[in-house]
Amino acid sequence: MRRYIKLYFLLAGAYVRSRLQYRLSFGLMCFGIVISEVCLLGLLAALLAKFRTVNGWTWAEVVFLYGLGNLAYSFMRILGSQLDDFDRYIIRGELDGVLIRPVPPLFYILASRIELIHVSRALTSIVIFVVAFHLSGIRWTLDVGLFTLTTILSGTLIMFTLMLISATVALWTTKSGKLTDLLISATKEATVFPISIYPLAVRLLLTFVLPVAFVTYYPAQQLLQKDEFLGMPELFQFGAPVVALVMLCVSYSLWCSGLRRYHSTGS
Amino acid sequence: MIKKYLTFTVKAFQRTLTYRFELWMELFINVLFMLVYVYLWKALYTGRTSVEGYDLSRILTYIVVSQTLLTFTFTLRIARIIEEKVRTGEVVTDLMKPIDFQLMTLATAAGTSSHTALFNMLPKFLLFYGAFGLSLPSSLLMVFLFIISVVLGYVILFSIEFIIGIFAFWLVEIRGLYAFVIWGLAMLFSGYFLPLEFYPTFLAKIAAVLPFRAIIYFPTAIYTGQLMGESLVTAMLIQLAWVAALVGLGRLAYRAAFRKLVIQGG
Repeated sequence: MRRYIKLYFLLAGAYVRSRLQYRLSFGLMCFGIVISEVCLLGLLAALLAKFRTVNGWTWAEVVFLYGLGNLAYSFMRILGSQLDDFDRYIIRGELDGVLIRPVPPLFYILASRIELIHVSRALTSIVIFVVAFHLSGIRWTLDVGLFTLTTILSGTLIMFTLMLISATVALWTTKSGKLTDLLISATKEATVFPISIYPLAVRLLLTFVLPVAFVTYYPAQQLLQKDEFLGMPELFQFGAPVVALVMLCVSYSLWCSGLRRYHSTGS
Repeated sequence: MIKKYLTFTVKAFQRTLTYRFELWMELFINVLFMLVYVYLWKALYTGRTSVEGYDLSRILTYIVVSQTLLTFTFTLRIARIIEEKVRTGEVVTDLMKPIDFQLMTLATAAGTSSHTALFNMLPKFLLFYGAFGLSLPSSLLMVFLFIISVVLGYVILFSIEFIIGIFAFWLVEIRGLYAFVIWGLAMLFSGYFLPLEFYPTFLAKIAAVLPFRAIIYFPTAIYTGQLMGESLVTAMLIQLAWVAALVGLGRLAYRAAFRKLVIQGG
């Protein structure tokens, strides 16, 4: 275990150093991310200044959802960015090199890139989330704190597993293109608003197929003291960790079976 | 002369045809994206008839048209392509060809984008048009003007991406600049998320001096009939002015870049 932790920092550190070679670009990118987050928030503000509520959710509550979803998203991006152009490994035949290394392939792939620019997104999200937390009138207690931490952790895992599954697709199709990136942005977008605005089919999709409703919507029921389960069991508000574990098992076994049937592209 | 460049367009078009699976997934996810916004606006408009001159049908039309046009932003990737060419040195072979680099890049982009328009944007739009009872432009003339405005907006988007790409000669890595301009500024000021009429005054003022509203807001507002008569003419003149300015700026930038390249030699 300790060997892996050491190895992780060694590999990730090398990547970080190489990224920092282009300081101006690095700085601009951090700045770009912060700006785009603030911009989206500004648009949300402009929108809710006009309309007051979305399906009974106030501006503070929507921002709360936004902050929660974004926190999970940014942690996932810091740790799992290597998966968003995973097909590169297959097209260029780099996966062969990874497979002969004496560590689990997924570990090696994840460790070879830790994307610090997304720390800027995480920091922005933390500020947004904390402010929204107070505006929504939630009181800090130990319970609330633990629940929030578990929720963010589970949310990060859920988003990560979706990313892993869509990257795994490339093991069958060779090219997955922008699929991962698009899928993650679309699902992230879907977590910003209360899922009660969608028709049943989309709600079922976001609950059982791409379970991002467990990243923000269901846990928020508990935190915001809402009671809006739309016919789903009330237990779903505590469901995030379970969903995360199930998704982890499913995605990892898919990944393993993908690797087993993987044939090098040659060239 | 034109035939030479059309070859690039056709080749780029054919290249994109290769990846069927990718195309279907992209379409599926795009539809998901658009559903989010359509249902958001439906929820916002419950119990209201009209906000800022937009009734429900008009706002849904606006959102679907602007989201459809936004697809160009996702699929263009010109900045990344130029960056890659600079990094690998492939740009040198482009320079040896007896053709204009900027026009060649535009011709290639047009190939990729006409594919996007035909197989992604059009079906997506028709799907939403049928499902949500959207409206069409008020006359054939408006359809025509809308298409011209879309093309002008496209050239503006292309020129901005082209200039960002050319910066790779100096910065090597342009992902930062790209994210800042395209995902930051363009997203906020193009009006893709909500019509500019809904913006607070100070944001609307900033949007008015930047080129980004000419990419999405102008064509969309022409489609929905928000821009008519004099304001329509003004909008299209502004688009033309931006096309001239940004294409010119792009030329200056790449000439400067190529001079720099020669100095470095080899």
